[in-house]
This record gives sequence, structure tokens and C-alpha cells, in this order.
Amino acid sequence: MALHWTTLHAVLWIILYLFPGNVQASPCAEVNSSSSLVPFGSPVTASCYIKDCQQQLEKKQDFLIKWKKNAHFIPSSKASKNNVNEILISNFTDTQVVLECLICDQNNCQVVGGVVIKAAYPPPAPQNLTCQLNLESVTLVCMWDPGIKTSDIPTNYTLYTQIRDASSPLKMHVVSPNENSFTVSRDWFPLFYEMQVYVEATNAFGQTKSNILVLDPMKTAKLDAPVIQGVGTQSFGCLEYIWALSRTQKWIKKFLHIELKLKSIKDKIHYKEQVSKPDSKVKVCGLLHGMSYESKIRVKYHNSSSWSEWSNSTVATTPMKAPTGRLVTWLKLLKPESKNQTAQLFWKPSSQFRPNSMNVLYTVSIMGSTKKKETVCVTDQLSCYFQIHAWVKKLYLTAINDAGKSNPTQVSVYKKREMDPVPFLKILPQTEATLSVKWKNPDTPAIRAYVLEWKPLCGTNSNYVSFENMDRNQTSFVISGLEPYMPYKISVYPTYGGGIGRPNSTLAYTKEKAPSISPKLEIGKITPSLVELSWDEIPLQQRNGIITGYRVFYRDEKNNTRVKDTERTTRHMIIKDLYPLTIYEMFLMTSTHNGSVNGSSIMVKTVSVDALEIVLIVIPACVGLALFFFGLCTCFIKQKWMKKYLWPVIPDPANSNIKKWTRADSLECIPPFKDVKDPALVYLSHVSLLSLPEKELSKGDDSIKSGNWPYNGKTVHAGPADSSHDSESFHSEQQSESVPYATVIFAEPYRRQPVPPPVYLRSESTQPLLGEEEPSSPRPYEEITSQVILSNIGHFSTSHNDLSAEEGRATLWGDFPMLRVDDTVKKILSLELASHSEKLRLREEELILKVQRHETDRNSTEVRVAMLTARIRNFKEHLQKHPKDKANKRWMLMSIDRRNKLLKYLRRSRYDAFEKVCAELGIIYTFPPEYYRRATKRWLVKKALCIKVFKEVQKQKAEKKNKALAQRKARSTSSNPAETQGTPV
Amino acid sequence: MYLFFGMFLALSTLRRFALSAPLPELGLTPSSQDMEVMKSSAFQDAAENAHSLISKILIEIPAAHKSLIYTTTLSLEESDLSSLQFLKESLGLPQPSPLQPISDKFKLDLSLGRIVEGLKLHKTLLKVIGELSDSKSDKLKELLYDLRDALLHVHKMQQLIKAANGPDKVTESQLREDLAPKLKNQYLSQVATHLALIQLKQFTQDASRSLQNMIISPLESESQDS
Repeated sequence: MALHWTTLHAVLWIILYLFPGNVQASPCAEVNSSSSLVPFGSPVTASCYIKDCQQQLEKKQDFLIKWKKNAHFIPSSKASKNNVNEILISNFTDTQVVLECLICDQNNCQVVGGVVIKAAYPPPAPQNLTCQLNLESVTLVCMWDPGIKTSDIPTNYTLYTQIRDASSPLKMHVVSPNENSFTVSRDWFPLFYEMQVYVEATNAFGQTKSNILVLDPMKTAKLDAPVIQGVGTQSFGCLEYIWALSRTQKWIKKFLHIELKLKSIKDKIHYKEQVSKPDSKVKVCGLLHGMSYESKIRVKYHNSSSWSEWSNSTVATTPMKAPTGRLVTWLKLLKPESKNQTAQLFWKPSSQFRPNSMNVLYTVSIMGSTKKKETVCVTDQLSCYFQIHAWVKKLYLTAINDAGKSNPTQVSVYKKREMDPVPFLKILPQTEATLSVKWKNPDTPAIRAYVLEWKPLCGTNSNYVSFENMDRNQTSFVISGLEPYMPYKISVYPTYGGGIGRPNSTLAYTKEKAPSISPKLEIGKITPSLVELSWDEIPLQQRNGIITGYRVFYRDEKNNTRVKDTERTTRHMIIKDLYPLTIYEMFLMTSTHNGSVNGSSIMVKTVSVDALEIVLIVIPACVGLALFFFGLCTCFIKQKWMKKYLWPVIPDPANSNIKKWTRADSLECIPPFKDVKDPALVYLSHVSLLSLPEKELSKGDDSIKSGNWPYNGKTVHAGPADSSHDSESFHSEQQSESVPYATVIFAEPYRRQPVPPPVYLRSESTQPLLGEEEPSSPRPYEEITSQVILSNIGHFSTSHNDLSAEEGRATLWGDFPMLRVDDTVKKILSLELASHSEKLRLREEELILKVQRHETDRNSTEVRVAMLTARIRNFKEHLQKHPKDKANKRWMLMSIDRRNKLLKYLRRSRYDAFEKVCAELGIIYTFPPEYYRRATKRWLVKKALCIKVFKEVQKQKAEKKNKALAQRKARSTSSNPAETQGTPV
Repeated sequence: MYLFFGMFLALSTLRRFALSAPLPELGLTPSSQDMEVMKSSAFQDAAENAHSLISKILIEIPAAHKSLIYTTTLSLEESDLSSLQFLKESLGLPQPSPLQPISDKFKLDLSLGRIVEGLKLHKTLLKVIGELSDSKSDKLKELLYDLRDALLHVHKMQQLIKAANGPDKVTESQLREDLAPKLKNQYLSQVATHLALIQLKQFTQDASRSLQNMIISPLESESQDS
């Protein structure tokens, strides 16, 4: 460390004496630095030498020397001598530093001297060194980026070039200051040969080198535009070019990259890149036949070089070929009914169609009556009008050019026309050039396809019909390539299996605007109060949209403007309520969806009132008034008569006949109205009064008077035991003709008030209303339960079908021995008293007892058979009674089948049990019928043939087998000795 | 029929190939060993480059002539040099060794050697003449640089076929000594320049032809491969 310091001091003193320029003289101190400009990051030393400060520092004997760096104190090393102090900044990282030397005592510090030190970097390495050969002046221009400048210290550049040949020297080119490029003369670079280049940047603090660039100057050159010397063709779809470099570069005899740009008439551009030598042929294939191409060529020396400019263009045509591919057609028959129809055929090339020449003619021919093709049309357009006979079924469309003709496209003529159109067609503009078309399927499976047709209705190509064939699944299409403000007629034709439907057509615009003109108003009749106006339609070209309506503005002399609208279809208007002898200014405004335009205004003067007109108005008015008064007078005179005939007949409640018949009828049935009124207020909300013929009333009377309703009588005396009584009673009820004579509905007046029992009962039944219902009288259905207990056996005997069932029952119960008891018991315990299900259960138990294996056996096959048997018998019994009950019949058959199944199993598994069951239950088991197929004649023949074939095959097989056997035998006899020699593998 | 014709052609070419081996004196093609080297892309590239440069020299000669020769009687188009024969002999300009098509007698290395020798000779000659006649024509310099570059490529070709370089026919100092007294006369210096350029033109034409023979175009090489 000490050594370090001593060397530093030595350096310091040397600097101090060697560079007096750096010494900053001050009155009493000198501040020195090693250098005022230092490389960035390098160490810097500075010293402060207090020379002669006795005058200023007389009083301050003890002072310290301190350093400030950019106005901040920094620690300094110890003073080597009393009046010298030095400082070392080991890593100089600021661009500019002000070092100040201060003399300090206890109180304050005084600056005695200072020095400014600047730092700078060595220059940045030049970047992006590129060179380009200029072939015209044969010089190599090299350029580079100087890099980011860090300081304003001047930098000098030097370019070094060397031909990469052992003997060549490294050449130094000094670049003029402030320039970043250099032009190397021909001496120092070769052609077609590699050389290396680099740049060196130098400034006060050092030098940096760029990357070494190795290049062949030729590769950097941009060649001049080449020349196409000739174009020829020898094969289909190919063109051959002879090309050369420009005159001054003809000496280049190397393979170069060329690119050909071929532009066909349809503006399709092909690019073909090849490697070729100048003055040689280049063949380009894969081009369209019979198409003329405008060709240009450009060249570059190497892949990395830049392309030259494009050459002059040459036009050449490839050889023609006959057209190939199909055409898409659309046949329209204009007059379908007549014998000679006018047909309109449109076509367009399909995606596979190749015209193979620039001019194609199309011919339309029909198969004539002599089976010869007759040409009906030859055109270069894409449509044709011609006449065809009704019997023509097919047309042929052929494309022809100079080289030949294509295969004819067949077009079939539809027989049926006027079929259903598509039910719905909607057109929406999408952009200015496109329309979206949507339609609905006409809901028939016969639909095959659709034809969408569109054509402009005006303009230059108004005859040009465009179309598109679409399959049956498509229901929308976007038409493109349309013009705005142009009316288009869009039609959709559905194609069916046997014909074509009527079109669904719409007029549409892609974009609308106000019409170009508004029609001129024409004045018709003018009267004092009205003016008749009319105008012409706007020509289609000037409409620019669908006209939505017209509006007439008219203004009188006092500037009162009024407006009248009409629809778009009407083109005349009568303006009424005008003042006579007044001048009106009128104009017409025409509107489309997207704007409107005003027409020129006209002046109309209404005429004055005519004397004859006044007379014509006044006379009829007077006559009318006179007639009116006459009428009034007559009315007042014959008031009574008027009343009778003109006024409507209003029923007089006082004279109503209702009163009469209510009094005549039973008063005891309907309590007097007064009685009702007295106890409480009863609000009658609905009263219906019916008058009946007297006869019927008297009948009803009788029945009431007898007090013995057929309904009640029956229930009391007979007491219905089963439902048959019910029906009987209803029957009798129907017979007694009921008399609906009062319907009284009342509502409660107020709930909190005590309501006495209403005298009138509400009844909606059609029965005659009784004064009071007897609470004791039993209802027919109430009696059923009580009657069952009270009923005796006689009831059964009275039952209408008891007698008939008696015999059947005796035989039935014979099957059950348990039930064979004496008659009295039998009668008491008669099963007939039991419910049907109980009876069934008993029968079941009876049968089960016969066959069960043990006492608790409930699910063995035998028991199940027995249960089923009981059920089947029950069903049988029921079906005898009700032969039309199909549901139960079905259940029975199902049960029989199930029983058969069980029996089958039982027979198979335990025959003895099966026999026992059959015997006990009295079942006769019959086997199910075998599978049987009805033998038809056809089937028999087929079977016979099959058998025959089978036999033949068997015979042949047998023969083969025999043969094989014989052969094997023969072989075995012959090869026996050989077999002994070796084993076969 | 075409098939038969094709077969005949194939057979005849086969016979040609078969016969070329035992009769080397007839073949103008280089020997098979040289062929191998010649086919290499590096050799072809160098040959193409050299050919390009020599073509460049050929194109530049008229311009150089125009800039150097102001004596109207000395025209480059005039191919008849018989009237200048005397002066030519008296000037004693060094002549390049003649070039021949490549054959078994005149092999590739010899041909290249001659080209190198000729190029060097003309380079020296033109340099000396230019210095002695104090002409500072850019065109002449351009010619000299092109000659230098062409030499680079021919040297490269020589390296590829591992051919040694013969001694230089003339040295610059010797030639300067020889020509310095003769070219003091302005007319004579013009004649010397004229003669040198004509000589260069003839030589480069020969060299160009030789080099063109060495370049095998891809199509040619394919046909030979088959």
C-alpha cells in the first residue's frame, strides 16, 4: 500500500512539472490533475498545493485541506507535506467532475482552487457494415452505422480492405471526418472473388473495430434490368424466352437467378423463378392454353443479392386447344303453352371449364326431326334466344374455338311448368355490392334444385342475366358484384322432378338514395276550391331506389303551407279546400327509402266562383229544406199513429199475464210474496218466470196433489237392493215430466244481521218445488245399507235375475262338497250373501285343497295351477253373462296360457303329479299345435330344387372322395419304398 | 419406329464412348482425370468467373483503345497488321504462347498455364506501356484490374487441378528497360499501345474460347453422365 502511495506521489509530481498547462493557478494555491480528459472508469488523481497563503491565512496556522467533488465533500488522504494534499478517484464514472480544494479551520472553509475533469469512452464499434458494388462506375461503396455517440470527442474512421488472396496486402483507407461511408476504388477489390472489409473507429481514448465483413463484391451488385430478346412456343401450355443482360453487363457469363412475371389478360399474375445463364432459353410451363401473356423478367446475381428492375414487357400467346369442361346452363321458356316456344338459354362456364383460347363461340343445337343436329344459335355471348318446338326434349350447347370444340353440354327441356313457386323470398342488402337472398323450401320432397336469377333493369348491361344453380338444401345466397342505386330483378325458380316452378321475383337495390329528379307536375281540372294534379312516373334509371311515396306542398299567397301525401302507386292528386281566385305555389316531393328530392314548383291560380254553380247548389238545398219541414209537420199531426208504428212496443207489467197464471196455480206451493218480504229483505238477483201450456200444468198439479212422487213411493215400499232399482227410479223420474217453473237465487244482505230461515229455497233442480222438504223422508241411496240388514230372502226372489241364475248356481255349487249342507243352512250361509271376491276365494281354496302337497303349500306348481283354474272358471262364468267383455276374455286367455305353461312344465318334470292334477281339477291337457307352414306352390318348387341341388352336390362330393381315395391308394402303393428312405418335412 | 430410331441412336452413342478409349488421338475431350476435376463445382465456378472477366476485358478493349490511341491511322477494326509488321518486330513486344484446344497433347494444366502466362504478360506489358507513355487512362487501369482478377481465378483453377505455375515470361523491370528507349517517340508509343491491345484482344479471344470449353453446362454434363 505504501508502495502504491509513493508511486502515486511520484506520478503526481511528474505530472505537476511536465504539464504546466494543467496547473490551475490561483492566488495562493495550485490544483493539479493528472488529465482534464480521462477515459471512463479510469483512476484520476488531483493535488492541491498551497504555495503562499500566508497573507490570507496568517491567523490560521492550523488549517486542513479538504476536497469537494461536485460540491460534495469527499474524504482525502493524508497530506504528504504540510502544504500539499492529493486525492485519488479510483473509478471515474461521471462525465464531468468539478474538484475543488478547500482550506478549512474550525469555523469555515474557503475554496482556494479547483479543476474540471471530463471523462469519455472509447468510440463505439461501427455497426451494420455493408458494401455495395456499383457496376456502372465499378466502385464499391461501404457504409456503416457509427453506433451510439457517448461524447462529442471527434472520432476518425478507417476502412480496411483486403482481397482474400495470400499475396494481397491489407489496404487502409482513411475516411474523411464526419462521414460514415467510403467508396473503394477498383484497385482494392476484385470481381467474383472474396474480400474482407472492416472499419476501425478511433478517438482520443482508443479504437474499436467493427465485425469483419467477407464478401464477393459481385454479390452485392444490383444488376441492370435484363432484356427479353424473344418469346416462342413449341409445346402446349408453355412459353420459351431468350433473355440477356443489359449491354454493359453482357460479360457476366454465370448462372443467375431470374424471375419471370406473366400477366394474363384476366389479370392473373404468375411468378416463375429459375436459374439460367444469360443468352439462353427459359421454358415456362403450366400456363393456360390459348392465352396471351405479358411477360417481364428481372435478375439477380445471387440469392442474397437484390433483384434488378423489371425488364421491358413482351406479349406472347400460348398454343390453343379445344375448349374442355362443362357449362352451367339455365333454360327459360317464355311462352309455355304454344307450339313454337321462345326459349332463352343462359350459360356460364363451370369451375372445370377451360376455354383454352381467348375467343370462344358457343353454338346451341337441337336434335332435329331427321335425327340430325340443327344449330339454332351461334354466339360469343353467354345467352341466346331461339324458337323450339314443343316436342324438343334436349338442347346441346357446345363451345368452339379455332382449335376445336368442346363436348356438348346437354340441356333438358322441362315439360311441366307453372308449378309451385317458393313460398317466401327475402332480400336484404349487405354491402354496396352484395345482396343476401333467402327463400323458403316449398315443403315438397319433389324439389330438386333452385335457380337464382338476377338482372339489372336498366343501365348498360341490362340485357345481361346472371344466374346461379343451387341444390335443394340451399336456401340462401349472397349475390355479389352489384352496383348501388341500380334496380335488380331477383327471381328464384324452384326445379322439381318433372318441371320447373313459377318464379318468385322481387325488385331490390343494394343501396338507395334520393331520386335524381322529381316528376313535373301537370295541372288538370281547376275549380274555385280544388285543383287536380297529375305527374309521370320517374324513369327507372333516375329512381335510385324504390319510391315510397309522393308529397305535394302547396302554399298560398299568405305563405300558409300545406302538405298532402299519396301512396307510391297513385300518380294524381286532387287538392281540395282551396280559396277561389288565389295563386298557389305547388311542388312535388318524391321519396325513396334513403332520401327525397323536390321538384320544380308551379303556380296555380284557382278560378272564381261561377254563377251557374251557385244556382246548381242553392236549388237542391232549398228543395231539401222544404221536404224536411213537410216531414216534420206530418209527424206532429199524426202523433198517435206515429206512436203505434214508429215507437217500439214496451211490455206493460201491469197487464202482464204472469199474474193470472200464478194465481191460478197452486198457491199452497208458492207462499205469497208478502210473506217473504216481511221477515227479512231478500234480494232477488234472478227471477225466471216461465209460462206453460195449461195441459201440462194440470198434469203436474195432479202429481203434486197426490203427494206421492214416483221416486219416493218406490224407495219407501220396495227399497232398492241393487243398482237396478236406481235405474228404475230414474226411469220413472224421466217418465214423470218435470216442470221447471222457478229459479230463485238470492244473496245474503249482510252477514252480521241475523238472517231468518229463508222461505224460498234455492233449487236448481227441475223437480217441482215443495213447500218444505221433509227431513224424515229417506233418500234412496241412504236406504241401501239399512235395507240389507232388514231384507229377507224374499228380496232375492224378487230380484229380477235371481230365478234365472238359480239353476246355474245349483250346478255350480255342486263342485264344492263343503257347501253341500242342508237347505236352510245353505240358505243362511248362502254364498250369495258373500261378496264376489269371497266366493272366488272359497272356490280357490276348494281346488287348492285337492292338489296341495302339504297344508301350508301355497306356491307349488300344482297349487298355482289350481288357483289359475279357479280364476279361469270364474272368468268363464262371467263371460257367459257378459259375452262382450273383451278385457276379461283377454285376461282369461292369458290365464289359460299361463296354466298351460305350468302344466307343460309339470308334465315334463313330474308326470305323476301332472296326471293327478289333471284328474283332480278336471283339466284336459292338450298339446299345443306344432309349427306349421302353409306350403305354396312356389315354396314346393323351391324346396324340390334345393333338394335336387343338394343331392347333386352330394353325388359330386362322393365321386371326388372316391377318386381321391383311389389316387391315394395308388400313390401309397407306388411310394411305399420311398417313404422308408426319409421323413417328409 | 421411333423406338428403333432411339435404339439406334443409343447404340451409336454407346459405340462412340466405347471407341473413344482406344483411340485417344481422335478425341478432342480432355482426359478422364481432368474431366473429374472439371466437373467439380469449384472449378466450374472459377472457370465461369474467369470467363466472365475475360469477356469483360474483351468488351473493354475497344473503349481502352479509344481512350489511349489518338492517332487516327491506328484503328482497332483494321485487322490487317501487315503494314505494322516492321514496327512490331523493331519494338519487340513479347508474344504470348499460343493456346490450343484441350486434347491429350495439350492438356488442361498446360492450357491453364498458358492462359496464366499470357494474362501475366499482358498485364505487365500494358502496365509498362502505360507508365512509359504517361497515360493515365482509367480504362487502361480497369483493364489491368480485370486482368488481375482473371488471374486470381485462373490461379484458383490451377490450384484445383494441382498444376504448377511456370516462370514468368517477362519481368516488369526487364521489359521496362527494353521498351523505355523505344517509346520515347510518341508515335511509337502509340503504335506499341495499339499493338499490345490488339495482341491482348487476340489472346483473350483464344482464352475465352478455351475457358468456354472448360465450362460444362448442366445439360451437357447430364447427357455425358447418361
